Amino acid sequence: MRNRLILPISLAVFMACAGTAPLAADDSIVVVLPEEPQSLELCESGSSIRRVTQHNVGEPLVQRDPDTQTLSEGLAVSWTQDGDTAWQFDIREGVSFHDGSALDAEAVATSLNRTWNEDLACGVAQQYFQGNTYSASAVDTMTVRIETDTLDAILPLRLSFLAISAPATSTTEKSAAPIGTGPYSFTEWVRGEHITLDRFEDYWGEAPQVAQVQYQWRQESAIRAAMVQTGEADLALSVASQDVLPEDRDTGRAVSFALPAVTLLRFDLVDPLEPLNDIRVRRAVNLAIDRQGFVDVVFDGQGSPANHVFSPSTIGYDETVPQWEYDPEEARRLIEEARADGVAVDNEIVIFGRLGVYENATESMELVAAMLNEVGLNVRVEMLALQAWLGVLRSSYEPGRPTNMMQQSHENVTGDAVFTFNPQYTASGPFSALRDDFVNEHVAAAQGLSGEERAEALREISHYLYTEVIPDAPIAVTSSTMMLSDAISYDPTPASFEEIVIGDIVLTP
Amino acid sequence: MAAYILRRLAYSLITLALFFALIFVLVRMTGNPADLYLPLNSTQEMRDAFSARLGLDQPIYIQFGRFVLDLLRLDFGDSLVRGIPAMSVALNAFPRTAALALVVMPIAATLAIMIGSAAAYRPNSIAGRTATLGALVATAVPDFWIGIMGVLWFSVMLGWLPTSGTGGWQYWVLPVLALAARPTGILAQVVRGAMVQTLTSPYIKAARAKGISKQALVFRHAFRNATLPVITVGGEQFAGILSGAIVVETIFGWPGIGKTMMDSILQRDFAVVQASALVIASSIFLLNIFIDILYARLDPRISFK
Repeated sequence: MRNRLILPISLAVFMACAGTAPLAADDSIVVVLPEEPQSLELCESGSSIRRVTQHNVGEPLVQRDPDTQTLSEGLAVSWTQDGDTAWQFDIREGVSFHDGSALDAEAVATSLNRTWNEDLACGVAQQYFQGNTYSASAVDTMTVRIETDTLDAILPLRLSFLAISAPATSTTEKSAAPIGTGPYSFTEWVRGEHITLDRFEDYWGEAPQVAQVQYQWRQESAIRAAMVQTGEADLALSVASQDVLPEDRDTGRAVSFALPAVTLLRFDLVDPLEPLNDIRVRRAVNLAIDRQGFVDVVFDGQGSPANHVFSPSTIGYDETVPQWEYDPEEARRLIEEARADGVAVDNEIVIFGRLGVYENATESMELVAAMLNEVGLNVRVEMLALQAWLGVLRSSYEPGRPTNMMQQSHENVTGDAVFTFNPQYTASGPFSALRDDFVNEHVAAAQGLSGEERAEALREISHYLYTEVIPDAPIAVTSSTMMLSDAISYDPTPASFEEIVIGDIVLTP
Repeated sequence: MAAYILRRLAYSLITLALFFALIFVLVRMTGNPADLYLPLNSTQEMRDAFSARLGLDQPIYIQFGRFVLDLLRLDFGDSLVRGIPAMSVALNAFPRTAALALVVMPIAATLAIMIGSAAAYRPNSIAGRTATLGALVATAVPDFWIGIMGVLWFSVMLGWLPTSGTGGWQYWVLPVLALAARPTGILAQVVRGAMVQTLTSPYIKAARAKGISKQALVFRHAFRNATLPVITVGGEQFAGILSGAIVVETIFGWPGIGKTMMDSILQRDFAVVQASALVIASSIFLLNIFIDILYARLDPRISFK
């Protein structure tokens, strides 16, 4: 008798002991993300990382309002441009890092140079500091001087994306235990399970209400939604529209917000293959896509048709560029005209999609392919995991490749189109499939401008690209849906897809 | 029996070595992880330095040679993502999956025996047909559907169970339910088939002619012989959970070895993929040896020689 009970009793004890219970304190919250961050390095730019670290653990010298794009004091209290190739920043006094070390000019300079060190390959450097060379030095205890090779009129804006890490952070390796100055210090990371941040009691700014935040991750959108619906989580990011219950919208538990991101199909124009080498076919692709229908089906009506690859609030958006009308008849006419001129319009075109780039990514490309096939093109979809997609991105100009379009979701949270033009359209841009001297020269020239002069220069580039070159098919300004429990109140901003500012969360009584 | 076990272990080691060599080559065919770990605009020098640091710039046979030498020193390499020994990542995740399997299989086997026996006892009755249909449905329904529906019904609508994660016994119910359905259905069909076959054999007919009751025939005589294929198929299902619970682990946020391995494949974390494959393969080989021994214990006709 005793022997028969050993196994079930042992199992019961094991099951009871396994795992950890969720947080129970009233001033603690649980945030559920779509994926586990790959690292918590403050100099990385990936969304999965910044959701945890940006403005929570790490803070930048300059703060940026995601709604208005205006800049304000952060860890720097003032800044001035010193000639064409230097800026000086006065560092805020009385700030300490989570390890107790003081924030001063030397610490800031070390952190900046670390980020710009090519050997460390920081994502922030790649994404926001392209096209120039930067170096920082301490002028005095609380003044940092940043020098550049060429004029950078928007350096403060770039710095708003760069979180300052403590001097104790390794300068040769990336960190999995970030040390910043933010309102939350890193406590633990149980791989595969959760990340915990605790309120930093010596924070220089206003103390946040939330004392502790635990990040968990669930790949399945339905599960993320269910966690909030059952009270297991307080905030769920990136919930698909089909997983939101009607009562979630009615009660305000589900909140949709516009993203500074545009989903698009990028054409390969480096060594273009038929039929996309013909501008009439590229126009036809744009005319064949029912953008409003796309928004209604894929994003449940949350979003809007796009004719640039950045949102209308971005400096450089040209309102004279007409919105693409959904006109399948005109698309067919253009395709037939191209066919009559000998263009091989029947060649297969492959859409290389990226799995998980946004919710319903696969379905969205199947929808687009159906629209394009409807007007006489020969399109098929091949969805790829990120690694494979990146591989195609790198090799998309190689001989033997098929005629292709790449599904992308381009995000520009800066409010300045140069952060789109550089990576997306200049010859050195990592996502660029364009080699156009006009674009290269005008983007380089625009970098040194400011104010209305800069805006006009960027609009000119937009007009050229989107009316004379047609390098891509922008489809829709995307949105995302966040779910909030009754225990918290939070107003998402356009940056909330990759910056969840825990300090802005209010605990409801 | 000791000689038999040693012989099986030796054969398993050879198979394991071949399997490991295959895994080594296959993971490297997925491409250079530099695309994931370096910025898109990284220079060729940066990519070459990255490859050299990981030894990926060497010909495959040199990489394999170094790998074998490391293995002999029990060095399975470090995780590219986590920076810790890859084997520790695998060994940390494996018990969580093994625990699931250890809970799922007894439940599945018990239910399967009950359902299969009922189906075999009166195959043309309503109960028998229902049991057969139930077994077929359980086999056919995907585990992820059961998981998602379970969350919807028991977590969201009824509030009885947590949606996901790990913790007390409540966190086990839905993952176990999702994983147990298919083995239950398959094993129930095996039990039913084995018992139907046994019930038509001559010794059963002779026993029936001697006046032994049908219940005694089914549950005492036929049942014992029907358990043999259950053990074999059950072992197969157990191995399937060890290596393939990834969907359920992903849905429920269960940090088992299936999810760890899938994440490592997507992240091109070669060392963790190899270490995880080794752990899973070794456990399956040991499981097979155990099944063989158990089988021999139950069937006196089988000898270890």
